[in-house]
Amino acid sequence: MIQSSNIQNTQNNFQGNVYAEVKLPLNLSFRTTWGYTYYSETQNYFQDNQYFGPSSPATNSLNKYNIQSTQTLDNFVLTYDKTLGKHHINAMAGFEQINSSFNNINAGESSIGLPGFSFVKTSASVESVSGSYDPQGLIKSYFGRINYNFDDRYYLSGSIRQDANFTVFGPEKQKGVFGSVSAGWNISDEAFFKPLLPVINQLKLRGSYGSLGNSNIPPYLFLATYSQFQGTSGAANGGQNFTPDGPLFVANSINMLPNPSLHWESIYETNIGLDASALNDHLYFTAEWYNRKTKDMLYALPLPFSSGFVTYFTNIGEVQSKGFDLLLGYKDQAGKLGYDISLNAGFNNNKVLNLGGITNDAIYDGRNYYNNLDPSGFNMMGTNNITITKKGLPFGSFYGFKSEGLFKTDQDAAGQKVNGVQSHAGDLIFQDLDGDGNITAADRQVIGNPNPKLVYGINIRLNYQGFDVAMLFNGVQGVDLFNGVKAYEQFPFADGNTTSQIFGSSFFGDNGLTSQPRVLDPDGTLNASNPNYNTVNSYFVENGSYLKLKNLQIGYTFSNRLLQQISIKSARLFVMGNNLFTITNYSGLDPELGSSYSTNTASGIVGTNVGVTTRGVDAVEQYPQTRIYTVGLDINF
Amino acid sequence: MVGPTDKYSTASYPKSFDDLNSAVTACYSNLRDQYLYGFDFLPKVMANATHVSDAAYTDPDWVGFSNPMAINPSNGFVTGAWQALFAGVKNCNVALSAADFYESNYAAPAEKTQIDYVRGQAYFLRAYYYFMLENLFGEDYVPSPTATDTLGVPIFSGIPATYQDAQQPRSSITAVWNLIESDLQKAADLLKGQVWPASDQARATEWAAKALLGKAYVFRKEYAKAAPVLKDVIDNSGKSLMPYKNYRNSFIGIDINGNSVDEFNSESLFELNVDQNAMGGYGVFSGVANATTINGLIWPPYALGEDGTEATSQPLGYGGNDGFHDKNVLRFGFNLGTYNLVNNLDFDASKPASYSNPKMVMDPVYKQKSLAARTNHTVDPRLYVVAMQPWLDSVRLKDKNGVLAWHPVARPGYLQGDPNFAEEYGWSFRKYAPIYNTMDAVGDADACNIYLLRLADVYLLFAEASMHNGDNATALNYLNKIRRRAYGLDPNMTSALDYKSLTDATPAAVSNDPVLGHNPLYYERWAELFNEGQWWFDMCRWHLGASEAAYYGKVRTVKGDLQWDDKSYAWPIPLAEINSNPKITTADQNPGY
Repeated sequence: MIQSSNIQNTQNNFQGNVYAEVKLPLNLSFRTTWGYTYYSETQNYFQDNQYFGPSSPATNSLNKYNIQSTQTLDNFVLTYDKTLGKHHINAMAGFEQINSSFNNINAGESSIGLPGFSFVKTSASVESVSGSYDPQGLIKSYFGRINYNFDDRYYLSGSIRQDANFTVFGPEKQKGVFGSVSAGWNISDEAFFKPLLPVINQLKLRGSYGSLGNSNIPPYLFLATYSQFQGTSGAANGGQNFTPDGPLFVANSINMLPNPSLHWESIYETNIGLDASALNDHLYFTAEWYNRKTKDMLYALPLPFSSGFVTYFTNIGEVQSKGFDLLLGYKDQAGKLGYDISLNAGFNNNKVLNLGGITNDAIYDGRNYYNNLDPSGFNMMGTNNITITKKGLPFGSFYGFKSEGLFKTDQDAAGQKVNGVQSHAGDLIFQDLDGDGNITAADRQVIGNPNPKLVYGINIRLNYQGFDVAMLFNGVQGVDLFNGVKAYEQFPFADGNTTSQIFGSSFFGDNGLTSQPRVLDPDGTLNASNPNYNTVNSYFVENGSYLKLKNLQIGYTFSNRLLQQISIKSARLFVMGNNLFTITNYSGLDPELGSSYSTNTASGIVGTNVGVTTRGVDAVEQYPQTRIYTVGLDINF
Repeated sequence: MVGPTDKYSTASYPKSFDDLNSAVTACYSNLRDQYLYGFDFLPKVMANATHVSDAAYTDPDWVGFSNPMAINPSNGFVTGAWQALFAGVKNCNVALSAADFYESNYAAPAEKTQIDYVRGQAYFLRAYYYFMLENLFGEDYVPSPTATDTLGVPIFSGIPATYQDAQQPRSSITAVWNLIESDLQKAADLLKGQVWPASDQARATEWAAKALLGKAYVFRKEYAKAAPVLKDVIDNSGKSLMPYKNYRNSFIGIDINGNSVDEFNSESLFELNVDQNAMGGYGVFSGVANATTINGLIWPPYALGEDGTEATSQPLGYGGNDGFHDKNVLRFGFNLGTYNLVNNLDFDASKPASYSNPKMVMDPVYKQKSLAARTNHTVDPRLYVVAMQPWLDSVRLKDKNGVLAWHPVARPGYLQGDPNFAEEYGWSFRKYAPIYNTMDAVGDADACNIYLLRLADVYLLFAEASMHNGDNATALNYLNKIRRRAYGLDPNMTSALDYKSLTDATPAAVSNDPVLGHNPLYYERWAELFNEGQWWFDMCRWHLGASEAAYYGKVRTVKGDLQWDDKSYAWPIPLAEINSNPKITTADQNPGY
């Protein structure tokens, strides 16, 4: 059997650490840790050139790459621990350094002589090679913490740290200082609380205020550099010759606008919580209020294309996320049946306080691309952005035309044009903000909020005579989703593909006015620029509330008598299912969406800021969560 | 201070003259961006906007060019062209700054002339990019002036130092043209006298700069300034019109063995070098640097099917994209109508039907008449430079046994289901199209260099300038030079075919074309520069939008007759620019969008 392509990818990962701890006089102890992480990935990719149509590759090709990255960690901590009567102090000071190194090589050859993973050069072969070595990654941190408690009733704690990242930020901006304080009070241990103890077994009040830093962006963005030019199509524009079949000259240019003032993003959080348990520890309860402010958020700001550059990494403004988390649970035994049922709910509200640090008063993001790598020619909504992030609004609010239903007759529609195209019966009615009868970019408004108001979960655990059952439900209420896939499902695009949903559109075949906007023009022909489906509008904004059985596990633990005869301490057999069913009114595949294509993330941002401005956008390239069934056996020797 | 280990620090680059050359190379290589001459601009955008093509492809972004009323500010090709043209401007600004850096830090004094040549090339290309930007996006040609129709495009005369510098408002039309003209003057001065060796013949010269300057003056209606500059190019550049045979070859670029033929010829003033070598990748999407384009994928000719029928016609690239608009055949003066297929009297029934042994062929009477039309010049011969006629012309591709063989050109298979199929011409593209093999057999790479400026363009601009300066005799003379060359005659000797006046009948008069039928200036510019991405600019500056829509009447992807709205004389400023640039708001958008 001929294989038309073959990939082999191997990844090796090693993580290890050793530590030594020595007790010193004066209640001190010293611990040093040394850690080493090693990652290596090798890939061989052979692509044959079997002919399967006009887009077949003309030549075969082999690509081999090897990546190695290592990290060494040095950590030194000095601890002081002393108890004096009812006072207890634990203080700690330390230093940590992380060195990272990266080495990779990527080689390709076209028109190789033998199919497989070896480079066999022929006269037609063209080679390409790339790779880099960078041992410069360096992060240094100094930190200290003091914990104090009195009589195990009153707790007080403070900490401070200074982090320095030497490759991500430029000179003068590398260090960030972050601190926190917290306090706790075991109310249930107080003398005045004794009479309540039988009812409320434990009650603790705690609060904290602290800050953290984030530096999760690609390195060296504070410097201007020359590198090989890539047009929008990529490396093919990285060279040019000046006579037929002449040698190619490399094309280099400055491809990024540097930002020497890039600095740490800081997250400040205030937290007040109450933990309690009652009724002989059967009932447990936690309530927590938080207010988190992110200042100088690291973001890849889109630059105007007229500048010749695409993105600019910078620190932006202030964002606030605050809310309330609740947990309530009850666990008990009813005869041989044990149970533990808990409910958790989180209410959250997020808002952009200001977009300080940039001159733009709004940031746009999100695209409804069919294929994230192809911005033109194959997309229902062109290069339209879907979300806006602006002072006073929640992050990544949906932004487009507001639709108020469908026109019933042509007379009703006579007063509306969309981007110059006259509307008819069966077209969406758009709210005309500037009243000029033509719906254009000036008539866009906020049409949805992808940040959920309430996130909740239900956790049920049961056990009976060796059987155990665990169920985890997840749910979300009060959230909007932008169903970009619907545009591709209800309208034929490019080569005429669509789904059977098109038969439900207004005035299609024998249909009259339905709930779907018209697809065909009044004379029955297809107009590829139908404004109902190629603009960002609220017809695609849906309620994304859902309740999902996220995880169900049923297991049985075998009795020890049988097993001890074969030296097994215990054995548990279980079946598990993930994402078993979802209750929702959302018409797309899965309302539990990550973030979709974001020009911000495509520039290299990782970590918590990934896709922060494209939440809740359902696009063709996103996969739904998979349903997984697992069977397992745990054995303890 | 640490920096990336795989990039050059601006504190120490360019260090050598080769480094400086790399910086200016980026100004040229950007021309082959997928949204410019690499893939989209000529076949998808310009060919449909001027109705050279009658596309079968219904994507919304495409339809915006067949039917300009459907262009909106989030059109992917409009956004891509804006982005790629401004990336070119940025590359030129980087090259200029690199030249200054090199001169003050590392250059030897003897290198000054060479550094000035680099500067000259960068100024020329910056002017070229701004010329394209202003003509496409500026409000220059939008009629009915109001207080807001003086906006051009944002000007960047250097690399932005801070991100605020990266956000510029639209400049006035006059400021942009002043920049273009002063850049071209500087380029002409810096490149004065330089004749490049054969290894560098694609680089810009003072004559390219002067030709573009003359063009800019004509577009700005400054005819008194234009005429002397254009005459200087005509008299002193050493360029001359090629004979018809070479002229016809120069739009294919290679001979049957793949060798370059008639490239960098006697009439080329500025040309983009394109080699048929994708370096192991897929045209402009290969992962390695190359010197190719893939326009041929979009406007391939169609060959007769392996079974000898038109229904199974084989495109030499992607099928169902561009098709040669029938009205163009008529406009060049072809008046023989369409043909029927009749039984092939030479059909050999003992062998299976194939492209070399078809059961049905073109009516031989019609075939004879068509051949006669070529030899007795009743049709403008340039029709046969830009297009190929089914059954009379041939293209080469692999037959079902894998052998390269010449097949007759055929009408595209997707026409078969049309109700009016009998009236459809279905000719194939020839200018810049692949004829010796299918695109995927050659790596997916075009072979033909793309003319960006040539002497015929200068002759026509000089004719236009002379006419407006009151010198009709000179105007008529230069129009006739172009016409004589087209008909295979010596351009400098009067002939019986000459136009007698500036309102004489042209080949388009045969189809009663109300605009080109009796306007030799407009006709010659249309016919000579057909499908080179020029006619759109002429349509806009002469305000022919409505009459062109009326002449072409219908295209496949737009129902009803073509409509025209004057807002289409300028493309919309892309919404992506407005969204990311606080200095350009929806209020600064071109009128009507």
